[in-house]
Amino acid sequence: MADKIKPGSIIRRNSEIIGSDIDGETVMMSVANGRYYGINQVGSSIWHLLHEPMQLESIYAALQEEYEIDPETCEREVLVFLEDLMKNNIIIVD
Amino acid sequence: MAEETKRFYYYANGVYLDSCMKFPELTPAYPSSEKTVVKIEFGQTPEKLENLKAKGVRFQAAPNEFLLPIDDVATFWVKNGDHIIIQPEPRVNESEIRVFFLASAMGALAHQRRQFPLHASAIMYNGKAILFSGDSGVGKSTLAGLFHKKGYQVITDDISIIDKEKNTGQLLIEPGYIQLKLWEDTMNSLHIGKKEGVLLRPGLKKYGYPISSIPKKPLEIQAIYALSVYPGKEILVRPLEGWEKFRHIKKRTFRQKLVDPMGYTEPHYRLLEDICQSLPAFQLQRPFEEGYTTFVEFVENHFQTNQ
Repeated sequence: MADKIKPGSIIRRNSEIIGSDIDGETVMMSVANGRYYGINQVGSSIWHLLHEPMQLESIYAALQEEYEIDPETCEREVLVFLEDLMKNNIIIVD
Repeated sequence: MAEETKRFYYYANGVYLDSCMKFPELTPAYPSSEKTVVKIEFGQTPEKLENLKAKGVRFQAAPNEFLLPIDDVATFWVKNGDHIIIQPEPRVNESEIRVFFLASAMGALAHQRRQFPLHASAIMYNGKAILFSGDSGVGKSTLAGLFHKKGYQVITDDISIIDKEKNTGQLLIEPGYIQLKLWEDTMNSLHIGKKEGVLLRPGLKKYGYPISSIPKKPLEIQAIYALSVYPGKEILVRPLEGWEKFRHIKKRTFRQKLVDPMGYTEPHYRLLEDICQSLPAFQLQRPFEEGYTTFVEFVENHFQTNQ
């Protein structure tokens, strides 16, 4: 397990987190501590992509396609987001 | 050791109760074999729970156990979803024990039975349930009382027990108690005389008002209305969806704080998820100044046109 996201990092869901689709929005909850999180559409897309572990670059590629944004903006924003998810123990970085 | 005393049998919140105490607030019923029987007994309660996981100002919670001491009334010990032990304080009036038993002990029992206790009252419309949820004081019971006056059947007041039907997985609401808890001023505005109700606790101007009957079986749920009062002019109603709906329903869970320490985090969350995914919810805001007559008509019209 790593504490930083770097090029080539493999990212996976924390198995203690359950995600639910409610009216098209994603709500997540930790079965470990009962805390819950509401996340936005991008977060929701990332969560769906991660139904299996994925390399950072593949996440960028998939999201660029989905949202039609330029690579630089995408990478910058997605990284901030992933770091946030990592801090909250929603994803695990290897 | 245990002395043989008279037993009383009831049905409420989806369970049969085999009780040492008489409950005029409950529907009498003899246990049938297919449902669980919850045993209610007088007895010794512990000072402290083993495996204690959480302690509030007034309660202790451990896996499958809940302990609630109420000064000058009684201590309630709810165990494994099928056993409640009451240790009354000397000279306490049984009616006071019943008030805490019916709200707190039965609410904790619901969690232990993996049911979903929601802070809501409910009425029946076209064979289905309409739920009014919200914080204390927003008018859940008043609204149920007003619909009762209009001829609608009340299903439950204050706590709505939501359950999953074993075979179909459908969400249902369980019939509650045969009483409404109403404040004195609400009794007045409903033109109910004080003599028709029973004072719930000395010094508290709240009455238990008996209602003739509630449905005998669990019912499908049509919608949940999240009630609130606000300083505007118009009655507002809008659909509650996604994250907002989730947050509202989670917040109105009866004693949500018991869920994690009693060890039900995941099953509770799964039920919450199911409720949010399967049931429509609306936010319903009543202006401070708005009288109930127009409000009830508005609400009635809304659930009739949103079937």
